[in-house]
Amino acid sequence: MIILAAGDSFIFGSELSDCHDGGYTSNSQLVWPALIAKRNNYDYQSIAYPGHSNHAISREVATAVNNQKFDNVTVLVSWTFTSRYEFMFDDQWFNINPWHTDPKRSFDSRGIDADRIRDLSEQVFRNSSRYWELYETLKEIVFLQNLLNQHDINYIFTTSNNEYYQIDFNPDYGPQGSTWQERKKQYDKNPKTAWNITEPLNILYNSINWSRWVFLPPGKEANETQAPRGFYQWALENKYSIAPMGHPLEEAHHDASLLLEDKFNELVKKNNQ
Amino acid sequence: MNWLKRIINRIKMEIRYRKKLKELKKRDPFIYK
Repeated sequence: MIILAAGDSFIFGSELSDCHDGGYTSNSQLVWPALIAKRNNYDYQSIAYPGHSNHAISREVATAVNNQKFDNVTVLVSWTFTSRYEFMFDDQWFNINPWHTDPKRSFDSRGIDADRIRDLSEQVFRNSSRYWELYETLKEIVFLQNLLNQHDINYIFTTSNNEYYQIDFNPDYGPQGSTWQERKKQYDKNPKTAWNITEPLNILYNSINWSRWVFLPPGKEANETQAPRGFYQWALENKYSIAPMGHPLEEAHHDASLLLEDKFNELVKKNNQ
Repeated sequence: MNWLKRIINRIKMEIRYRKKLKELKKRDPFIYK
């Protein structure tokens, strides 16, 4: 059994002790899915990369499973922040995030004119909305889920941050304080109202097979997330040690691997039955 | 007076954009090389 892990810097293992240059050239074996794989004698391969958007994650997985023709694989995908986007500049993919709008910040533009990246980033973040962010991410999730199903490839999904599956938590999406269920009820009553804007998100949200997801437990304190959490949220709220650039360290990965192991194994084994 | 409204709208949009960027950077604080 091979575990093919995809995601962002949390799954790549940026700032962990076996990523000696800060996490760009070699992925870590100390991240939680690698620890689960090691304890259960699964082979482990990672295509995660720091800064990846959800667009890049689904594209990388689709390419890897097509090219590598794995015999017995479970794909583990950790979805990332919704405000990252991947574009192709001429013939080169590049992932942008809100930090690329900063005119003074230098970054590795991989041969692309950095000003082109800054200009595009500014236009995207000036004109995009919370709704579009969510729509783009949910679309990537449904796309990859359906592609993996179509090719009969086992998969486990999780997230670093639960901002999109906890749509109720977004105050700028619909009137403040209203829950997803309340908004749905209003829409069902009168689809001609402004609520019909929720319909595309509803369709995508309800197309996701949530039984293939693993989460960390909800918070118990009032100031914690009162819903199943992603790795980053869970580590921050539990006050695990954080590296200078903001990534949770080894202890958080170790504890997360123990908490997620049973459900992870259950989903891996489903494929072999 | 249209020119004045246009300037006011532009200023409002700029303030909204800067506030939005600040929120997005707070949500995803990871800066990559």
